[in-house]
Amino acid sequence: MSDYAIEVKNLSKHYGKLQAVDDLSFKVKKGTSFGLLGLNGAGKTTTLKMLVSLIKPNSGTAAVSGHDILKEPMEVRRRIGYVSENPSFYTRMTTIETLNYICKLLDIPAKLRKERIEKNLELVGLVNKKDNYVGEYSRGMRHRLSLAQALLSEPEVLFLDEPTLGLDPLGAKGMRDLIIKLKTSGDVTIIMSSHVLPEVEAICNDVGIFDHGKLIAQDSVENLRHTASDNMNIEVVFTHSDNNIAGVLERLPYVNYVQTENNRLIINTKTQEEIRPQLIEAIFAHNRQIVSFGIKENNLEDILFRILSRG
Amino acid sequence: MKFAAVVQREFQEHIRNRKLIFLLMIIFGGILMALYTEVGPTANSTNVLDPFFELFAVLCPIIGIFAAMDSVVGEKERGTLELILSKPISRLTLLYGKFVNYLIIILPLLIGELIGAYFWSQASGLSTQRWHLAMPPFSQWMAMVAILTAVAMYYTALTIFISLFAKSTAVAGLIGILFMTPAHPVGGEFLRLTGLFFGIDSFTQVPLLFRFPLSIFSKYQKFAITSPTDLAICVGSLLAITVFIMFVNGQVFDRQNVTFRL
Repeated sequence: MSDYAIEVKNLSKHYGKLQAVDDLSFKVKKGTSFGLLGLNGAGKTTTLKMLVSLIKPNSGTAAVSGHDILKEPMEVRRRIGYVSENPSFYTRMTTIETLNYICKLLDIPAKLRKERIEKNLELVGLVNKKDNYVGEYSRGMRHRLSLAQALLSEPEVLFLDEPTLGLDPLGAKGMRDLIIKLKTSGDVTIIMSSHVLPEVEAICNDVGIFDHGKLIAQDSVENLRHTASDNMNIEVVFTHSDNNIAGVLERLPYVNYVQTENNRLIINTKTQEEIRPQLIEAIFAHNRQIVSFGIKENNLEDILFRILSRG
Repeated sequence: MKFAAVVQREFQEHIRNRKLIFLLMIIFGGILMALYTEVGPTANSTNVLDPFFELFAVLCPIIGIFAAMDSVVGEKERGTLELILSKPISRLTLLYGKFVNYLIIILPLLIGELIGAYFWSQASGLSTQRWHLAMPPFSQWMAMVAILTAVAMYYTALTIFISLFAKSTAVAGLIGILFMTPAHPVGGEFLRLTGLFFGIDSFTQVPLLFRFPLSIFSKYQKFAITSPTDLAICVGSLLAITVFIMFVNGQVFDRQNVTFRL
């Protein structure tokens, strides 16, 4: 048995002249969560759709839970759950009818259906809406129903394509909390694409950065943070605001620039080497009092743009 | 089980979106038109079968088109195909499940209402009192019903094919109407002129083998009602074409990119 939930080998897909995915290869370990990052049109959704065997690649192959997406698409679909970026349902069916229909398509025995449906409706908070027509649902409720239907098969791999797209902040938080709950409660592997970088950072162990159909970086958020940075941001908060100190620090040879915001300074350095003692020395030499001093971690957004700008 | 689930869901959908009632009304309205309005028999008519066939030869294609025009493109428009096809169900099961559901909806309504119309015109004396024409033998009436049923099935399959490629449900419906030409008098005129070109003025002069493709034309269908051999050719041919189109539909759908959103 392979340790990997996803094994992608030289996967390519083009639509006419547009190369949507170009010679993509990566692996995702079982039980982990993997985030697909990239700008619009980078190939994230096409990759997800190939992995759930909705579209066929032009070349290359991939295995999901040990099953080839081209040779055993039914086995793949039996083991996965898929939440599309724009969940659509039959509007003239009630919630319970929809989930029952999905259960039948998943070959879930009749005696298990009721329990499985109720368990998932409870998880996504739609128990009291089970007799409502899906056409009456708000976007947020459709997203939650989509997650419920994806979990009916008790999937080994859960694919989430922009799971909070178009949701209001409260709905997005609810959805995010649900995914985190899933991540921590079971051994499901989560593959997620998202534009909301803090969300990916909160959910995913590893991320892959896509650009023009290629995977240009894949690592843990922590490692990417380290490798993507050739400089450092140091945040200093003073007791009082003082514009002169920014100019003084900017003249130091290892400082790129200094951003000032009231009594708070962000010092961007030219190197990742330890230069904090020198900085503190320079500040104290000008008799300034410090409230706090520390490295400001690059967030995923900084890392993404840095890697994309490098090409 | 999955096939039955698809058929059941489609049937439920057709009840809830009122399509079933609309189809019932189209057929019922057609019968009322044929019996009670000036669509009635022509000078050459020998019985009330003539006005019925003339009207239903056009109505049956419309019924097939109306039932199936959103079969695939409608699901693509709504985005529901992605939901279903991300589950372990083959595309053929989905497509054939839809087709069987259309037949379940159309055939009982069509056959039931047409047979009912025969007995109603006979019992009410409408045929003799209104048009002073005899009722045709029941066997001949059933021959008409068989042909019309096959026509409805053929157009259902053809519309599913159109729906696989159409950009929207409305476009699928409009293209389907264009394909109705053989059922229209224009199609009849085309056959007449083609016959004249080859020096043929009756279907009896056409070699048997060449009559098979003629079965999509309403002019030949009408002729086939009174000729047992041609009835078998016409119905058999329409059913064979339907099966062939559905086979092609299955092959196309199985290879198609279904994820486009309009």
